[in-house]
Amino acid sequence: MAAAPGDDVRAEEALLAAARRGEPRALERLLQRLAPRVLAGCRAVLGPAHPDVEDAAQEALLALAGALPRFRGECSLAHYAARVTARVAMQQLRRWRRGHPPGPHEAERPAALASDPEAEALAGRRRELVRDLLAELPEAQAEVLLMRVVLGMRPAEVAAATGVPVNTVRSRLRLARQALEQRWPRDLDDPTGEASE
Amino acid sequence: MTPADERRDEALFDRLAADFEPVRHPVPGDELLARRLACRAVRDLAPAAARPWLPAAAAIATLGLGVAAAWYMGRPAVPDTATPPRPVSHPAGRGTGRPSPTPNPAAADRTARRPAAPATEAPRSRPATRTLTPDAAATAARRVQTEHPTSAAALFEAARRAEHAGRAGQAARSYRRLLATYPDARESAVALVALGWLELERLGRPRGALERFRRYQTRWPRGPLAREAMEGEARALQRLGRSEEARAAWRRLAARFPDALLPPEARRLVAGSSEAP
Repeated sequence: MAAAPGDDVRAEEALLAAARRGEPRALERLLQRLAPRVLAGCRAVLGPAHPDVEDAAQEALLALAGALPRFRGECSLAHYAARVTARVAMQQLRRWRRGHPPGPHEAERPAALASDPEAEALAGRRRELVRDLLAELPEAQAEVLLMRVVLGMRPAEVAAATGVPVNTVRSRLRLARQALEQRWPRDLDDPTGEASE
Repeated sequence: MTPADERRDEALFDRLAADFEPVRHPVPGDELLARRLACRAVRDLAPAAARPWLPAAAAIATLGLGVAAAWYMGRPAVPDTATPPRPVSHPAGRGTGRPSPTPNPAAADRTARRPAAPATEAPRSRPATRTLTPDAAATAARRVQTEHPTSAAALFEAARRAEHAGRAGQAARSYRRLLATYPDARESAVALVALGWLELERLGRPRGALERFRRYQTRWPRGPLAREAMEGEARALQRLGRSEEARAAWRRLAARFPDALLPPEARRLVAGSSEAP
């Protein structure tokens, strides 16, 4: 029987309060709750088979533990963790791209094994395109693009997590979109999806 | 930006977000890896944790304080005037240098008048008949299902939930019961490694943990948790002070998973340094 959502929130709040008081067991339990999503977020940003996924997740957890005292509850703890993950993973992606030629890191999920190999291959290419963009866009734009697309957050959630107005989020996304359209390969398909509809 | 532009943008980003959907969520085995990362993060943050004598020292200090408190509380209500009052000693770093507080006379009086506890507690009396309402029956049924799960999946879930809530002992019991009752279930493979880490990191039973990790590797040599099991084996051996075997275990891990992130002491061992871990 799953715990009621309210109980879960209260438990998380209690853990957060204890972790802020410096209780290591509470901090460990709190990080354990958040770690699977942090790990999955890093994997989504870097690519499933990227060799630095674990390092990035570890770094993000350390950053998150360090940032907890500054968390003032403007958004959910999960979204706060998402922002920290986004920042750390993006830095890792940029460092990696500076030292290595761009290459696909989708090996974990071969397109050939997907139920629709062609669609999966195209999705893989679109993911790589977004990752390329994340490595090159100005940080503020890259951050909102990452949270919106890679982590799947709504603009209002991105606004709450980053502490900027939702219109600012939208305008940053707009700039990211223009950059995306400029790079979109002709053979991929229409980035707006309008041609296929 | 017009509403039409906004809708167009939203459609594009929703579509791209859908592309990331398959790679955004935790995959099997993530929970264990995530737990390890969280443990490591807390260890890195707390330098005190690197001093293994510290918990033992704290336990001894707490025990000493407990004994002192028990001695103090157990004193007779009317102090023996023949012997001078003994100061309560405080552990290092907590000592205030002040004399022990004077006991509250009223409390001392209550203590003096309280009858001595019997050697065995008498069973509590219960009402002769109890009316079971439907709600109470449903609650009882849920409680039975929670406390005595009857399938491999339910046992695994109970163990996982207990572990998540920090109840290591209860989690270990559920994992053991799962392994004993459903040794061939899919959940038992994960339970074996999870129990190993629980015994190693939470319950201080490296010998039991070693046995779990080795059993996993024997039964599922190519299993998805082979890496976790190999690392667990190496760490358990280190904890047991079996350095040569630990070195061999780290080397096997490094050979099989060249991209594995080894801790510094393991890297030293693999590189052949004679420095003790």
